[in-house]
Amino acid sequence: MKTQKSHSHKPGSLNTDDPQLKENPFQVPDQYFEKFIDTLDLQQNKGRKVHFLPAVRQKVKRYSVAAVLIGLVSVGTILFFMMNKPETGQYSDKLGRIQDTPKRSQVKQPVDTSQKAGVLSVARQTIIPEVKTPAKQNVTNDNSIETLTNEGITDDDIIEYLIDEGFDVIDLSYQP
Amino acid sequence: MIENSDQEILALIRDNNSRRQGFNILVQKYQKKIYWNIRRMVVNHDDADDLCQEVFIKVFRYLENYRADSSLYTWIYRISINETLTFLKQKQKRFFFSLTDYEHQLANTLQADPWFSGNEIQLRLQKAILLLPEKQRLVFNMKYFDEEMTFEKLSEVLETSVGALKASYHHAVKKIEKELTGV
Repeated sequence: MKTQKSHSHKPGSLNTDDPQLKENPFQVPDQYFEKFIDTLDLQQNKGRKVHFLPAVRQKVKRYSVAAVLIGLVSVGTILFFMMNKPETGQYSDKLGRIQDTPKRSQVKQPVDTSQKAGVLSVARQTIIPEVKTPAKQNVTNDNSIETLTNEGITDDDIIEYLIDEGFDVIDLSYQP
Repeated sequence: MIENSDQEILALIRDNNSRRQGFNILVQKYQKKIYWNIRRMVVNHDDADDLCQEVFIKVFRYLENYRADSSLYTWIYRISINETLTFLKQKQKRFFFSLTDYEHQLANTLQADPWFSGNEIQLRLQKAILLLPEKQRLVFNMKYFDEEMTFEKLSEVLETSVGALKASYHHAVKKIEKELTGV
């Protein structure tokens, strides 16, 4: 027989011996325990109905979601900067530095061809040594230096270069 | 009905001819205890049913590995506790981004549960139990509702010292009292 505890129960505290509290408030469907054994599918190892994704699939799913999110953020960032490209600074110099205003060379101006001959002679003397100097440091083949210095430099490039460097085209072409 | 001892059940299971019969006896012997232990933790009947099935399937599958270091009941109980705690962790993960946690949600839906028939005081007690930390809830449920469960048995099942279990139980009772009285 169960003996009763000697201490009295404090009002408001949990009476651990209260049979009403120890009564099971939960219910199960009729005949649940009797039928339980039949619901066990031991051959197929079928477990609970609520299946969680296996750990590997869960990881793959998680990383895929993360990769897609990172991709979306990257594309969004690139698009944002492309759409908000500043109006100023659309002009750049030869070295690719952004300029707020166009240079004289970047504003299309008709070039007086009569000035070309005088300009070219000076320009070739100015530019070619400049290009040759660094080229000599890296390239040992003399033929390739010639190719480097002569290829791709048009007369217009030379004129533009001189104008950028502050030469006055009119003064250079002056023939006394 | 004479209840078979664990040794008799194990002998039946180890014999291939009586394996299924032995397992049926084992299920009938322990299903109620295991079910109610799980049910008090997860509250919902469907979840408890799924977990109970999972436990006995695991018992059937791994019974050959049972080395009788502990009693059969302790071994099954341990499987059921591990399954229950894993289930609760999964549920809590799903509630990670939710404004309320899983235990609060369970406490709130308890009243609407068709398989809950408790009166006002029982409802308040169950709600208070659900708000306990997992380990304290487990200890309280196992000790308070199971008359036969001693701290020594509990210590064997949970692999925790008797002193730690007594402390857990004591803290749980204090928290429940506080919750019930609102002090």
